[in-house]
Amino acid sequence: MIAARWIFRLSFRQLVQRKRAIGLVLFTALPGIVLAIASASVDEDELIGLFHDLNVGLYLMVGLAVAALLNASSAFGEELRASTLSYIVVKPVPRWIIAAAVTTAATAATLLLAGIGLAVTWLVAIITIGDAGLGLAPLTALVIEALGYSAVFVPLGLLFSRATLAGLAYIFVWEGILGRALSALAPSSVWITAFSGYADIGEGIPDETLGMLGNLVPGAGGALAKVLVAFVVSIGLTTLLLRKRDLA
Amino acid sequence: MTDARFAAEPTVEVNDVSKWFGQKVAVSELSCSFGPGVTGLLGPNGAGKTTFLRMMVGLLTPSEGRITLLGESPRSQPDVFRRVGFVHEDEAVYEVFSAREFVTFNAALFGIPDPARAADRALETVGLTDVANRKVGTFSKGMRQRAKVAAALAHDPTVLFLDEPLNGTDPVQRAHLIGLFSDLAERGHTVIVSSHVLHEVERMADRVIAMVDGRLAAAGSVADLRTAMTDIPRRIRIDTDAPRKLGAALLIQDWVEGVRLIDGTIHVEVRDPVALGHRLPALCRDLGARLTRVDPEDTSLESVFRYLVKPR
Repeated sequence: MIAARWIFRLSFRQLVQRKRAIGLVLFTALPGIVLAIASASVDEDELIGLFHDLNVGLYLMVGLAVAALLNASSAFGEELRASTLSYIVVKPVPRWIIAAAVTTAATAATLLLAGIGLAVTWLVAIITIGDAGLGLAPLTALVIEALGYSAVFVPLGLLFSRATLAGLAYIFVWEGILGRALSALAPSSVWITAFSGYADIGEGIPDETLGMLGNLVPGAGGALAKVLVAFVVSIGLTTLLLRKRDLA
Repeated sequence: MTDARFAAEPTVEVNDVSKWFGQKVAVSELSCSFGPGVTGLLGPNGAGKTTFLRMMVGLLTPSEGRITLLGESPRSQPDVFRRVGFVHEDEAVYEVFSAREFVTFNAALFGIPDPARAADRALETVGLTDVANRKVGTFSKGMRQRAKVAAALAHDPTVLFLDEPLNGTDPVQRAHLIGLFSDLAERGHTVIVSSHVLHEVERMADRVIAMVDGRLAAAGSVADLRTAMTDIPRRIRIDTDAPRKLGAALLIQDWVEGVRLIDGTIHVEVRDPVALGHRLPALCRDLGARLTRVDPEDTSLESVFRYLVKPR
């Protein structure tokens, strides 16, 4: 457990101390900034709908997804590129502990950076709409999406040298276009899974926005269970890659 | 007679190991072993030393063959790393850490009971105590090298792999590190040091494994390698105002292997450069030729190694 703690600490610090961390916070805070500007010209009822639209369309689909991709794919990817991975793997540490610690660190880094962005939006919602409960739905979705995307993108960083590009293709082509066009693919989409958790908790979500769920039934518990299973499978896959792949 | 490729009490054994990346063969059919003492892994840049070291510590899987480290496969039994230290070639360190944190991190991962104390001891060994709280990202190349060595030594490893560990160090630091590796060897540790600089290896290694183009070129003591090198024909360039006459005169000397005349310059290949030094002035005097330049060619370590692997 000591090794796991140290590896977690290292990975987390490396991810949150990168220069791009500030950019990611600002990027994920965009819905709050737009909401603050819009609040001057939109009434309260419309503002609630706008809050949900911005959270789903801008935060879950784009900002949080990109933040999670950059953190998760670079968790191992940057170590490989910088040739520092030997400090972790040429050690008497079981591979599954390395995989679990790094994947958890990537998730925690996304929760922190995208969480600050969400806090900005939440604060704006409290000031402009006056309802603190509105933030619970995006908070639930943040946890689901951070776990889900970390599960997908951490092993990707070990598999491909251009994992970020592959991840962007996954987010914008597979999930953004195909996942929405073909309802059969929707359950494989991390952001739609997160949105199903969001829809279960959020109130006053416009019908048109809810329509993006397709046939998927909203459910925060089911969505969380699904990404937790993906998270465990991902640790298993990462462990396998650490054992089988060339690591230099 | 014993085979110089193999150590008497091996801690690292390499059997018919090859590694290729796509079409490129980086290491080809290597068989050798390493035991207590300092062994220099010598070869020109691109010889495959780093790939070989990375295979020995399990970072790369051999395409063919088998490597055992302290009797275990480093790929499938990570527990073996409890007794192994590795300093890689790259400058890369965790820049978010101070030197103390960096070494403590490594010590903690080796599973030693008091990593902070072990880190302080290791930092003292490499002379970095004064800057222990400085971020390693701000260190010079030589200081980074010493921090990496401290990180690899914190758990007092039985087998230590060092990939070009003296890169970027100044002469004082170099002497200190060489002393450190020699001390480890005297205590019965296996130290494997890769380098492309012969005199560096000569100062610290009892035994040498020489590689060229991914193949084993020579093995044995440094003295053995030196002896092998004395047999190598040397190429010498001679500029004179009478190249044809002097070239013809050189060609009939029994210590001359061959003479080429290129653009009025003589390129002579000699088995005994000392004989050339003695005889050349007299030949010029007899022929009335004036020497303007005499320079050795092709004396790099790479050319020496290439000679050693050349089929004869």
